[in-house]
Amino acid sequence: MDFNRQEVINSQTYYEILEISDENASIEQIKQQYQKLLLLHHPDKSGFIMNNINNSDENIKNNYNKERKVEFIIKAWKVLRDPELRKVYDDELKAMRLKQDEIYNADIDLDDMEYNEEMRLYSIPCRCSGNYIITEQDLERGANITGCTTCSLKIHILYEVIDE
Amino acid sequence: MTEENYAIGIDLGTSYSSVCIWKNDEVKIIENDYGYRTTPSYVAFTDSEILIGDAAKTQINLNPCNTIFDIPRLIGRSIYNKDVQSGMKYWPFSVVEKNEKLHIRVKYKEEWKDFTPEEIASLLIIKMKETAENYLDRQVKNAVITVPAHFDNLQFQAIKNAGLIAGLKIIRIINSPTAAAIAYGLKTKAIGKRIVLVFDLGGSTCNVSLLAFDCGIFEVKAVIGNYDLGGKYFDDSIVNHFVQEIKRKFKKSLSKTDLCRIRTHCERAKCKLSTSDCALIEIDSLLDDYNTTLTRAKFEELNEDLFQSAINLINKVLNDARIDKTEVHEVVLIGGSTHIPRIQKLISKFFDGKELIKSINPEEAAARGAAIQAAILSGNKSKKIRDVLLLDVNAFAFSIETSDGIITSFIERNTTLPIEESKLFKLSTKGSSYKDTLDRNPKNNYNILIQIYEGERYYTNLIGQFELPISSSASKIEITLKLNLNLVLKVSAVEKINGRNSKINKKEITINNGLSEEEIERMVSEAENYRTEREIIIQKMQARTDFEIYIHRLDRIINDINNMNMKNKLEKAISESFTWLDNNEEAEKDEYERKKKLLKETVNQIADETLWRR
Repeated sequence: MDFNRQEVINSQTYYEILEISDENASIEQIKQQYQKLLLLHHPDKSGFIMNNINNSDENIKNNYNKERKVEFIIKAWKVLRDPELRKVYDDELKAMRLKQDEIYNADIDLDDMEYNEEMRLYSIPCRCSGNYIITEQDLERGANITGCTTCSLKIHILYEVIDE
Repeated sequence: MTEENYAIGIDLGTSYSSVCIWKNDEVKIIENDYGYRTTPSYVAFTDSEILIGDAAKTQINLNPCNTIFDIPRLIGRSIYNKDVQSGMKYWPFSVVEKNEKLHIRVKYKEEWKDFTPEEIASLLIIKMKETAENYLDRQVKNAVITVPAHFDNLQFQAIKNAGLIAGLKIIRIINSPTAAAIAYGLKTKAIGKRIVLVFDLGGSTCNVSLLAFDCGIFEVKAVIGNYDLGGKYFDDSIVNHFVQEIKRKFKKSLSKTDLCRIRTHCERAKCKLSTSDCALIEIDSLLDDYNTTLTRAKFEELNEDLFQSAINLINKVLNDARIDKTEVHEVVLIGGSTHIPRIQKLISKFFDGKELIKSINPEEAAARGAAIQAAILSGNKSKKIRDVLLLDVNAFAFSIETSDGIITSFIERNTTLPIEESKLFKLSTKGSSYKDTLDRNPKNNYNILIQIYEGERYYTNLIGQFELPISSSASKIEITLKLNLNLVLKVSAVEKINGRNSKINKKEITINNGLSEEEIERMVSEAENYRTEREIIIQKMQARTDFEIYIHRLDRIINDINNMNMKNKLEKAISESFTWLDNNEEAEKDEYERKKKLLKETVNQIADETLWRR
């Protein structure tokens, strides 16, 4: 029942979490949407606590998923309601989209790359004698494309976080 | 709403408790069997029974060592806690350590007995539960309970256990100023966004909550609590003042019982000073009927430092929430001690002369809020609360210490619940000295110790720890903290190999305060016993009263009887019964009933005889 955080952040933007299609939506529109979703999904509003007195695995899991959903709704709102934070987030979002649209030359499995523990990065030599390098931090952030240090080639790194 | 999911709201205060329910679209406060809307948080043990509430408080001077109060200051804490230590200096009851846990030692039915604070709290909860049940005329199984804002995670768990012992499921714990804010917010229901500060100065705690109200969503911005502030401490200053005076004037030291009596009188004087400038303190048979006066000016002078620290608390909560004092729309006062004029003046001055809101009943606001939250959680479809939701926060930060001694802060104070935070911890380079210092376990793996702390900087409290086995090839571990809406904290750790979660080396623990299920079960059955005992006593008293009423009625009737023979016989029977009652104050229920029946038969017999003869 692991619910991977990285996955959620990568697959959904804060706008998507709040079910807002227009990323230029006004603060008032976002607020209304936030309040609507919050009342709809919050476990406290579902009568769950009382109706599911038996603590079956199914119930616990359900409640947990609801709590996670609400946590993200609140998180999204806390960023988008603050004009400064929203700007930073919008910029980051733009940068990430650019990154994902890039063309790459090859798919490389992460296991085939060499791990450098000192520097916390993975690397593999490029045919131009340069190196493709990606830091652990980038991977955790969800990046999967990296360029060669000397030439213009790019690779797509295949990896997955294994869940239970 | 079905029977199953009806929930009540209980405010378990340090000095007073109250209980509320949501009924017919509004909050109803329930009066106890004495007709009072608040019940003293006192439990007393006597030679024959357990007294709870008013009955316990009124007899405190006769039985100070076996009358327990201040339970919220004891529950979920160790005897070495600073606050517990300072309380022990003046609590007339004795606090002891047993099996590494705090217990309260009392003489009950002429035997020494040790109770955990959870058990004492459960007796108070039972009392509140019964008050509600008597009113509703049905069983109650769920409750929302309010506690002071400084309560930590272990204290939350302890309160939940106290609920279990009392046969109640505590579906949510909220702190008292936040609860009061819900009650206030629902009452006023203004449109648009408002920032509301609730200042709660009670018997021995001072709590402040800062909330943003926006269309029914009550978002807590920050909470803060302090247990060194409150009515009791103001009493302390007065008591100390007079004790010094008595020592100086009479060169006499005072016993614990004397101190208890002085305290009661000082408390009364303090309350009087809220409305008048001067209060007389008269204590019978203490140094030949001691009496003195206390002026409001003197009272304020004795407590000025304490008042000032209350203002500092407001400042701190605003800082935590990063909100300027000019942004606050309303300031709401609750708690008995906010009646003190000086406090009101200081707060108003702090907010540049802002009008303070005193319109909500300070003693009941928290319980009202709890009842509203209880109705919301039970899925009540009332129009008034359909769109109301409370977003609460955690009052304490959490941090993790790994084997290398580095403490990493995890969850910050005042984060909206629920919270889940994960962090990656890099293990030092393979073969480095750090890994060599770890103990090898039998599978040739390493164990890494993970310790969980609550609080920050200078106040941290170890609340749990566990060991995670890691293989030598692991480079990192991921630690996750989950704090759900019910304030249950779960900590899990998993080793990561090449960015992947290990399937073997992972562990999850739930933080609890160490009362095992068996212990709780035992306490539940003991609580059941106490309840039965109390019922027996109540029935006994009822039987005795019934008997008395019958005799008195007879006594009145015989005055109208003209037949002297019959009158004399009846008078004899009545006086015999009175004598028996006087000599048998502690008889059993059956005996009272039997005596009443006998008297009835005698009366009938006398009547028959005299009437037949006629």
